[in-house]
Amino acid sequence: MISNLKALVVDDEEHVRTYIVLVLRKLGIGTILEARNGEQAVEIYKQERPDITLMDVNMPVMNGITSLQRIIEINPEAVVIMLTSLATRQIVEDSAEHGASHFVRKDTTKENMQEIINETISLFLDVESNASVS
Amino acid sequence: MLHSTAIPSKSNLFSIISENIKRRFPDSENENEEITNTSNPFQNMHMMPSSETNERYLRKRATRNNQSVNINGIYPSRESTNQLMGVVAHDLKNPMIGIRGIAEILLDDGIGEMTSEQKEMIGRIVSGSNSVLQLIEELLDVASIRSGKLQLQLEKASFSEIVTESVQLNSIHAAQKNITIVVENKAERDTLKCDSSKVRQVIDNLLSNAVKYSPAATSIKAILHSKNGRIGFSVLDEGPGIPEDEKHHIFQDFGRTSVQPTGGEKSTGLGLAICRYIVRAHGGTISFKNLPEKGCSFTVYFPTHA
Repeated sequence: MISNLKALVVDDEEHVRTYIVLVLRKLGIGTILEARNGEQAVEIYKQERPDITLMDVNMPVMNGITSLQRIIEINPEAVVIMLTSLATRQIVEDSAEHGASHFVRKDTTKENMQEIINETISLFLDVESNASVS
Repeated sequence: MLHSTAIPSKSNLFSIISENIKRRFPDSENENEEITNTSNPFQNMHMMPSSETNERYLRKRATRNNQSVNINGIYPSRESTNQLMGVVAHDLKNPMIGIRGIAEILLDDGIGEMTSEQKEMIGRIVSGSNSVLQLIEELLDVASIRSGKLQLQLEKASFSEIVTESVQLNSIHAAQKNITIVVENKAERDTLKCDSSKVRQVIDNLLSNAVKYSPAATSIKAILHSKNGRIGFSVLDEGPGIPEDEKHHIFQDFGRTSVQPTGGEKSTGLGLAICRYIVRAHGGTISFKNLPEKGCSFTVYFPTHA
């Protein structure tokens, strides 16, 4: 059941966090946690073990790639979707190399974002979502 | 009058300018010299006089004091301006994405049902956010192109497929203005080694411009052709064309013309400049001409080996 899932949204921009939280809420995810930088994300990950993490790349204190590395060190099976507003080949390659499950541009349509999250959930967490954002 | 005290009088204005000049060049001995060297006092209002004026001032001061001055280190180079533009665009983009996303979810009754009037207002936030995001995207493109960071991801692609997808997308907007896009494929070649997303951006821009400036109930021709081993694409519209005295700057950054979109659409003046950069990066050409009767045509050519 998707409602049993716990998600962690990591972004230094409050507006963006709110947007992603709303997308996840519409998908039916039951528990949604928030962190405003990579360091906070690692701490929350250790304590809460979310099923899925949506992680911004460019953040103060600790960036998303370093945070991804730390989370993968804690749990090599962690499901992390990287979020960015600027998708360069370098960022995509770094994300893949350090164990991200997927990658989504924040400025994509919310339908596309929903599709990518759904796809990742069904592929890695074996949970089907029948909710729709639109 | 409301806020009238906040507006400085003319004499006050010059005091402000003078103060600004003193702040900028505190170690100068001759006040008159400073004003002469900053020939346009209004530039000082922004604390950023033209680099030419400042260069003259700094060289003169350095000569007088027998010092050497690194002009390039003091005023922003083109490279740092581009970096600044990239950073600003990036930092503007993130909050805008959030604002648009939240507004879109509200519009879909994601938080709760809204009245039609509330939806209309939220719809305006979405459309305003989209305009700002488009401008940011174009500024980011210009910044990355100008700083030499435009990286083409070359791959083999079907040119007709790129055009077909773009025509489908632009036909939606065209239909709202009762404009028809007619496609004609005369090309003898189709495969192009290119960055398909960038080529798509060029085709999208040319088609969307044609739709933007065409009167309602007209047609736009989108023609694929080939010449001397190059693949070409031309867009012919029935709009007003480009005034003769404005032709020279249409491919320049912010090269807006006096021609107005027919449906109240927005123009940043960056689209064609970006097209030119992308086409040139592929080793291609872009040109336009006013058509004899009405309208104009834009043509791009891409070398098939690119």
